Amino acid sequence: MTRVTRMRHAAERFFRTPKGILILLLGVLLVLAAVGEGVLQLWRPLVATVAAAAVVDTPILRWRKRRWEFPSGAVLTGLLVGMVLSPHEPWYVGAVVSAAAVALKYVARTRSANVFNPAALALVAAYYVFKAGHSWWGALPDMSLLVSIPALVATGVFISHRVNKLPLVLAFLGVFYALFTAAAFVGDPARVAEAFITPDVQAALFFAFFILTDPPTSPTRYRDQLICGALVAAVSFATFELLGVVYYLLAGVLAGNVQEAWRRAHHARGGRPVAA
Amino acid sequence: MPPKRSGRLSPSTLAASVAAVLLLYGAGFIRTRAAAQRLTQDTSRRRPVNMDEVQQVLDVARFTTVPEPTIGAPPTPVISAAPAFAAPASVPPVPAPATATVADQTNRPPVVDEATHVFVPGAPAGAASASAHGAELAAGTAVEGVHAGPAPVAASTSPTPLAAADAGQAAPPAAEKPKYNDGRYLGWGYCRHGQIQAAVVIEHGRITSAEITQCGTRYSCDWIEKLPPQVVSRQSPEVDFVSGASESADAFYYAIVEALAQAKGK
Repeated sequence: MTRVTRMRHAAERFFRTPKGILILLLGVLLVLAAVGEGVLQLWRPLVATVAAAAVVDTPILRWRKRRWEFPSGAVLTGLLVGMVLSPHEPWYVGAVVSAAAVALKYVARTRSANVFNPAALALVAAYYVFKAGHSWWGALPDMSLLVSIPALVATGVFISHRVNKLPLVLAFLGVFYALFTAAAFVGDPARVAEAFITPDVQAALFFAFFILTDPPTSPTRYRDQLICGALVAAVSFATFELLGVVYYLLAGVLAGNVQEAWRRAHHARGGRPVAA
Repeated sequence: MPPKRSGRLSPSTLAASVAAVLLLYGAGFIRTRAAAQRLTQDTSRRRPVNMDEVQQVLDVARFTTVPEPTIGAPPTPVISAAPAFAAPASVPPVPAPATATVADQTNRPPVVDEATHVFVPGAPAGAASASAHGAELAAGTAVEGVHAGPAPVAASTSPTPLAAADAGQAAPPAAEKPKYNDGRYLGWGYCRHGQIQAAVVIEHGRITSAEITQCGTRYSCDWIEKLPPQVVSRQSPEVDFVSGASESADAFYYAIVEALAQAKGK
């Protein structure tokens, strides 16, 4: 078997894995986003975030696993950071945020996995450190609803089903919109109207399908997924209502990450099997 | 949503869950539809349209409170025909003949900056020309000279680099009426990402300070931190558009407009 053939087979195997599939699906969204936003606007920040993440992660992986390995997790982190961060940010802001995301993955971790979703943690930190804006352009907010919603749902359901996190997604979306709808009926509808329109709807779907379902930081058992999804939704809603900051969705997932890490640690101490 | 033995959601459970999510979203969407439409309209109603509304407010105040200029001392055109510099693209160009009259001004296209329409009753024509200052230098020393008297006059507007030279020829503004009443005024501006409260301080009829007092937007107001000084330097709410923070910039603009309207109407 030639070297080229081996590489081709390795690539085929990689793109059958959840990470490989997710990279492909995000690539589909990127193509659509480029149509809406313009390639010239997007390529520089995106290349910066992906390259910076890969540059940081590659030597770490080499050191940890004693062999060279494609930094697929870093590429995903870079893509997610780039697709959420405003394309108007300087390229180096995206690069620093993305590199920090990968580094934080190795800093805050339990025995089995990283505690926080790296992209979410770095994006929240970027809001305070760089005053960086989050536009969620990867969620296709500038495209027609007839394109953006079907694209997000199709790609999102595919990957969520593949990693068996649909209950997590549905629990989040159900509680999320239940809370906002209740708030609309109880209080002033104008306060929560944003949650039901562009770009927040697309951002919520992108978040639920592609960030919330991150396998290392999300629960496996359905019961735990339901609890986690509800918690993430509640914290996101509370952050929206109390702080009104742009990272309200990401604040929710960070809370869910903490709860999941605590649950794993608690079960590990009790000698019960831990689903990582 | 009980787990199926196979580890996957059953189609019926999945369908019921999706239906529940859609039902919740739909109920909220219907409930907030009117508010969302207002948000969308506010967002799409950019400055040129809002300018008209502002102009209507300002016109009422201008033509009801500003005294007519005396005969023989016609008001000098406050809008310079010279090419504007640093003027926002959204402001329509306002051609004004060198001998424009008050009647002429009533026919002018809307201009945002109230400061540009200050008349100097009884003052020589040269004094009026001093009012044609550019926004960039409105806060400069030339304007300060105009306001040295006890009855300060609000100067200018349409940005022109020649304004500094004009300032040296400014006449005593004894009978001039300030465009704004002195004091500190607050205004709110709204966009789909929240609201911004801004404060302007008027001294001797001029904007001497502008600041963001409350930032209620979901994005950091640091993005538009350069805008308040522009309000002072231009003596106008016409601030730059901020790429990537256009809605926050608009909210700030509306907040300043509201504050200045209060300063005018006090």
